[in-house]
Amino acid sequence: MNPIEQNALRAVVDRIIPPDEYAPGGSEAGAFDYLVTMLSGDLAQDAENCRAFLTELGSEFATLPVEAQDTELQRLADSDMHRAFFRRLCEYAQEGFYTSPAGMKMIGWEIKG
Amino acid sequence: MAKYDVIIIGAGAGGGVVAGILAEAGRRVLLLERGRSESFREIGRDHLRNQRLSQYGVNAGPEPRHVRSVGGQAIRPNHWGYQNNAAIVGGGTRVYGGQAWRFMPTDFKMASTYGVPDSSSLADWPITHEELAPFYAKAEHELGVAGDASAMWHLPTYAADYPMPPTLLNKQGATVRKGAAALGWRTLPVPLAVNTIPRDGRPACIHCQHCVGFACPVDAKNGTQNTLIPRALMTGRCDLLTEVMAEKITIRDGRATSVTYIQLATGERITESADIIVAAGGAVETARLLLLSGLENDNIGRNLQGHYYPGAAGLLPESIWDGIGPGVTTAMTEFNHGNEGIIGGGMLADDFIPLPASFWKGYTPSYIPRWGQKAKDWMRENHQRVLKIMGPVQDIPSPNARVSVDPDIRDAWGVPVARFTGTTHPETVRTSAFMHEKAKEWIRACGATEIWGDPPGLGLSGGQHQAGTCRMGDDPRTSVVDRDCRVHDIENLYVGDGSIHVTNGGFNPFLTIMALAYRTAENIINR
Repeated sequence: MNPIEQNALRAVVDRIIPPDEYAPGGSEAGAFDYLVTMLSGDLAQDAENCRAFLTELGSEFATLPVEAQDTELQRLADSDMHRAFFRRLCEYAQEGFYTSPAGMKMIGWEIKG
Repeated sequence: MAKYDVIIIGAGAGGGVVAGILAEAGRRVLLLERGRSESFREIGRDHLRNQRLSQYGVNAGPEPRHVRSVGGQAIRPNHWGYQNNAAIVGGGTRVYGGQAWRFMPTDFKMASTYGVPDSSSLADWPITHEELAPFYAKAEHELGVAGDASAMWHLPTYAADYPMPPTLLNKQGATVRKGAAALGWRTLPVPLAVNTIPRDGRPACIHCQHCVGFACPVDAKNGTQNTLIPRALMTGRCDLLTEVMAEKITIRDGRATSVTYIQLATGERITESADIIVAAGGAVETARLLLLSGLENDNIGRNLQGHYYPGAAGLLPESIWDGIGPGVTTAMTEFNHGNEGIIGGGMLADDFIPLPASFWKGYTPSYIPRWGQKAKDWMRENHQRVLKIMGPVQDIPSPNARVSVDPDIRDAWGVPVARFTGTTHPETVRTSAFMHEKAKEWIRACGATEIWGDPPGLGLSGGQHQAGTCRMGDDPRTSVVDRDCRVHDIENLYVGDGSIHVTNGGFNPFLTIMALAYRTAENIINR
């Protein structure tokens, strides 16, 4: 992934799991790093789909206001071409978030023992 | 003279028990296990690669080279269709939740109680609950089970109480007990193979939030790996070999003479002989092994059963969370039998604390968005208010739910793999739909404002509760082993795992596997 694609993916992850007053957003929690690792590992079969998805979002995506980012993501979520991948991408990002210390803490889960 | 009296294939619930009892009785035992002996640290706490959520892998074996097949495709252990249990010293008991249930008397008499539905192979067991009861007690006391015998109203009276008191009642448990009381349903503490007090030099449960699917951080969970197998090894008469896979049992003139196994690391084949051979690799691998060994009984591999798991989730007005694990505390057995127009039924209980990722995937209602602020808000606001109730419904067996040997696909060692075909009997789906409604009724009585979840559809059921593929019976035309758990017409070959269950009860099956293994060990000693 080139730096532009990385910035776009980081921004996407932060719209899937937006930062708020209670918990950090997806990328700060570790879901972006999780995705990058997984796309060259267990999820390598989706790396090309991810690239096509980010290409469709365009090189300016990361600089758009969040409302515009959401609109753009919803457009892709509704498109025949990207619907299935975006659905999977959401699940991957959520996996990254809910296995991160920040995600677990948000819902009151503790690692004991 | 052979080096061993007994070769046991598989160091899980059943094989571990047989090894412990026979080694203590003076037999020289070879215990073969295809997995490894793994520590808490090695098993780890990966929330996406474990026996509870196998999204990208498993944590207690088998390794990915042990493929199986569905529809002509080779599939790996973390695939939904693999019907994985575990491949590790201790087998499933290394990482299970430890629900230590006795089957009910009626569970042994399903055909005579309900009749046999069309195209089902439903049958009675050749033995009764009463015959098994002393062995259940042995398993409960030697393994270490926590519970309250006086609360088990659905069973005949116990000869002795459980050796440990029930686990701590958490907020979730108190909530479901109140809900059940409002419906007039009796509840009982779930018997668990978990130390609730220090016992046998190991500590009590620390109430962590992992438990099922993982190893215990303080070794308070009791499986064969920390009880019966160490007892076997302590005698000096049991050799435990790991990372070896049995390929074939050689049978001559109605006797099993030897076992050929593969060193998985090198591929080397080794043949060892013994007077007695016990197959205990689980309902999938035992069936595969017997078929690979050339046994021709057509019942081998048929009637695969696991459990259907109907349940539902609901949103309660207040938090029911206190984070006290393992989570499951309370069961309800009002609907295991006697349901108008329904065959069998099952126990329902509150749930183990789900992993956060499992919760996101499996406990959220379908109407919430999968991304954005609303998704995140829903999790933060509601996670601690969700109650899930579910339980195992006993499969109504079908001869077409089947493990056979794949004619084309071989594993990394060149051995034909286990192939799955067929589904459970449709009556199982009907019973599950009935229990799904009961789960919803219970959740509603606990005060839920919204309830979600669907009953399961028709499919093949095996997995962690796999059973039935070498069923017990008096007639070799309809069964694989006799009432002594010995393969028909092979006087020294026994089966010591869930394969021999004729039906699988509406309860978690491991205690029944162990009780039968105690009984089989005694049969072998008394030969």
